[in-house]
Amino acid sequence: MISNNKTFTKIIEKQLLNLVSNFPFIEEAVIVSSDGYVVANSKTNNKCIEKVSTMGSSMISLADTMTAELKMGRCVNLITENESGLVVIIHINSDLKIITVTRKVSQLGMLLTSTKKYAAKIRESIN
Amino acid sequence: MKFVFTGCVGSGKTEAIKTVSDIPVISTEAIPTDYLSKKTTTVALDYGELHLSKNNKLELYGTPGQRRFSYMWEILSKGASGFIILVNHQRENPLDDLDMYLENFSKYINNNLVVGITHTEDVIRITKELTMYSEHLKKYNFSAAVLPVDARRACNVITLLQALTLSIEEKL
Ligand SMILES: Nc1nc2c(ncn2[C@@H]2O[C@H](COP(=O)(O)OP(=O)(O)OP(=O)(O)O)[C@@H](O)[C@H]2O)c(=O)[nH]1
Ligand SMILES: [Mg+2]
Repeated sequence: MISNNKTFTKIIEKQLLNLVSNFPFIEEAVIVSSDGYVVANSKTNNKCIEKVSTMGSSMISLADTMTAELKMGRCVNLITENESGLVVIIHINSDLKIITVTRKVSQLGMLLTSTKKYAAKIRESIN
Repeated sequence: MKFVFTGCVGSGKTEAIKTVSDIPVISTEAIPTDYLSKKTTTVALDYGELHLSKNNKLELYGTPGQRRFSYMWEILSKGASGFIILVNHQRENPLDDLDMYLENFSKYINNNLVVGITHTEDVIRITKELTMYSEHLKKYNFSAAVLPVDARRACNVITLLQALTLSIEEKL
């Protein structure tokens, strides 16, 4: 449904390309549907990212379930800090999530701020 | 004991756990992009609990049905004592559906398995249909009870879980 709409995908893709060109430490940015389909990707032909994005949709869904259980409302963003990189997942709306990946472990602040900013931009541009 | 419900999309995994759980079920549902006839689909897991008796608590996990979530199949299978494969009898090739989960879960199942056939309320000669599944299981060397089950009915789901519990206890 979502992923078949070409103009819609084009708009989002353009935003993702802006994001990675304005913040070159971001290795990859992906938009994934809440049921785990890649809708747009800053890099074409990266097979591995499809699986990772689907995992991201499971993770943020689980995080939402966890925070609801704690009566803390919806999860705003999910960060995984890893030995050699960072991943951020943020809701764009109920259907779409943005996932950004960097190898620069020191850039958490920038990664969060820029991803949030573009999540908001994309939300606006598709409304 | 940890039990895992698996099977194809719409076979009733989430529903079965909701039907029998003694606690509010933890679920991770999302609106499906592809299966438009379904309102929601599981993207990570379901979790519920059922107290069969004072000392017998079942932890009930449900997997996503869709193959792209198969990493969750691995995660959820670890440490499971038993598996329930649900098969939607109304699907085009229910035996192929069954095969897909048998193949993917075989290394965990260890013959601790029951198979529940859902969506059978309109079937007239149910015994014959069930034999088809039993024979199929035998062909692949799985010994498992095959029972008709309506995931919306607690007594059906409990019967299925009791069958699995019994078969595990018999082996001990
Ligand atoms: N008519 C009929 N409906 C059933 C039966 N068993 C389950 N259902 C319905 O079938 C649907 C199954 O949906 P779910 O429980 O979400 O299916 P699921 O296996 O969790 O699917 P995914 O999470 O998408 O893989 C629900 O609407 C149930 O009420 C049955 O025996 N007969
Ligand atoms: Mg489900």
